[in-house]
Amino acid sequence: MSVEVGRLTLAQSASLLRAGSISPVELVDGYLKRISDLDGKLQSMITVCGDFARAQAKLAEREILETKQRSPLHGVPYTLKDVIHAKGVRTTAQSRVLKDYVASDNSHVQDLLAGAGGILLGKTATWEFTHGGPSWDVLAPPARNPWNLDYDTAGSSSGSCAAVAAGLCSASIGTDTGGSIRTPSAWCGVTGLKPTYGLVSRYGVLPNSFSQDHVGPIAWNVEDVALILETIAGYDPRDPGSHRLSIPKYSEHLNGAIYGLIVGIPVDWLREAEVADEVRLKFEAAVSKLSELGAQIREVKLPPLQQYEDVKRIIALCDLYSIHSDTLRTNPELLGDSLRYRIIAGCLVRADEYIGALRMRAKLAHETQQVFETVDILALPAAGVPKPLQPQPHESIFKGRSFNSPFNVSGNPALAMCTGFAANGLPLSMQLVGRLFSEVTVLRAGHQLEQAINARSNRPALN
Amino acid sequence: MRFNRDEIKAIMASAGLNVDESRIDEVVSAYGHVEVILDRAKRSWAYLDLPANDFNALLASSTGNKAAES
Repeated sequence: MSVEVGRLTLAQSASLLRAGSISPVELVDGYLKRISDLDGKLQSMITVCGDFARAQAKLAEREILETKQRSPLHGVPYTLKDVIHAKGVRTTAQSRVLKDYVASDNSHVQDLLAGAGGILLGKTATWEFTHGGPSWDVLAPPARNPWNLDYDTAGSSSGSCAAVAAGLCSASIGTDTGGSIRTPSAWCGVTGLKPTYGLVSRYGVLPNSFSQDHVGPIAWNVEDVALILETIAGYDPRDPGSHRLSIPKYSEHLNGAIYGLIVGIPVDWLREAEVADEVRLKFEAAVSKLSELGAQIREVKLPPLQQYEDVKRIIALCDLYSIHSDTLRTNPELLGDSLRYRIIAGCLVRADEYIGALRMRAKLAHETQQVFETVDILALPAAGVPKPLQPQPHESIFKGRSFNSPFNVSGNPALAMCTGFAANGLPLSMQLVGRLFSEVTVLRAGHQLEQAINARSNRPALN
Repeated sequence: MRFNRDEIKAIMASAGLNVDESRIDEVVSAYGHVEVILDRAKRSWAYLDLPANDFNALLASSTGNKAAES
């Protein structure tokens, strides 16, 4: 095999498979070897489905030979964050609570990916039940950043983003309740999309906060994200938040012009969140590129970031407490210190405070959509500069403001993408946010900007 | 704080959370941070402000609630 599997994008893999230049078995073996060689230090995988993946690869090889590729994902290996069910495979949520739990049914996204001919390589590391922070007293240690193993990946789709960046899989599926796709995508230098609430089914996905959870794709570049999204999006009656919509081929809309696109910059947020200089400079350079591509840049005013953050935290705290209350009553020692500290005070939130947060959420969501009547997309940073991997103070979850939570509160689609690298070689990033269900526009703008920035040629040097 | 240490212990006990003294310290500490958030988010709502916890009966016909049925 002459191709370097760890540097292939999903689209390149699909193209090679279609041309018969590589077989699904070669692709799977290549990734399994990389996992075997590299994941001991990365710790991005919780469960590797080697035998299952090889069997699926042989089947896909036969199918492609006999009937051609039935989708761009046919024969392509991917991973799932370890809160997403795949029938017969452990789903641990990186928690001792579920260390032996084997899913009896597929999640909706796993059904769709497998149906498209994708090959599940394994399940990726997360933070315990997608919450908490990097912890060493849970089922497995936290994933490490492939750009520098002493650095944090951020979370909670930590293993998914590390594995994609390190070339251990073509793509991954993560979840995002307050930035859990976008922040680790930013810190690992990959591309992650939190779709519009209701676009991708959450059936078969362990919950964090019922009305703020989103499932979405993580891949090397925007084209790959589009290819996955068009596979996993669509109505599912088993998810009460799911919407009936026709799903476009997102990957076929990437090359349209963005001339005249109106891009809003929430300048007050940039001041409120105290953006690091390196992030700000790359962000400003990216906005200039958008302008060069013909976009019109405007300042916009949104409610303060802190309001979104507070509402998100109150709702999530109550949801998490209700989800884990049985464990807190019966086996609290099975939960890691970080998660337990962060959710146990949920028993003290009063009904009027919870309902007040829900009312405030509706108000903030409405005000956010009003801003999208004046702009097509928002541009803003996705995360700060990556930090060294170390235990975080438990109380940190209650502090700070991120650029991510507002769009879990409002439901708008948000794409995190790499804008370049800091002086220490770690990735920097930005976010493009669109109107509800306007993923075509968000992905097109992201793709055009990605081409203009040209930050996709570097890969982490792990070997 | 809205609740003192003894009140927090009592509320936790009523919620079935029988934890040792060190865990009570943990909750008191965590609640201090939560209370700051609750205070910041507090608003007055009028009787006619729309409720946010609406219910869509049509959804129940397609999804049901398997946990509640079992």
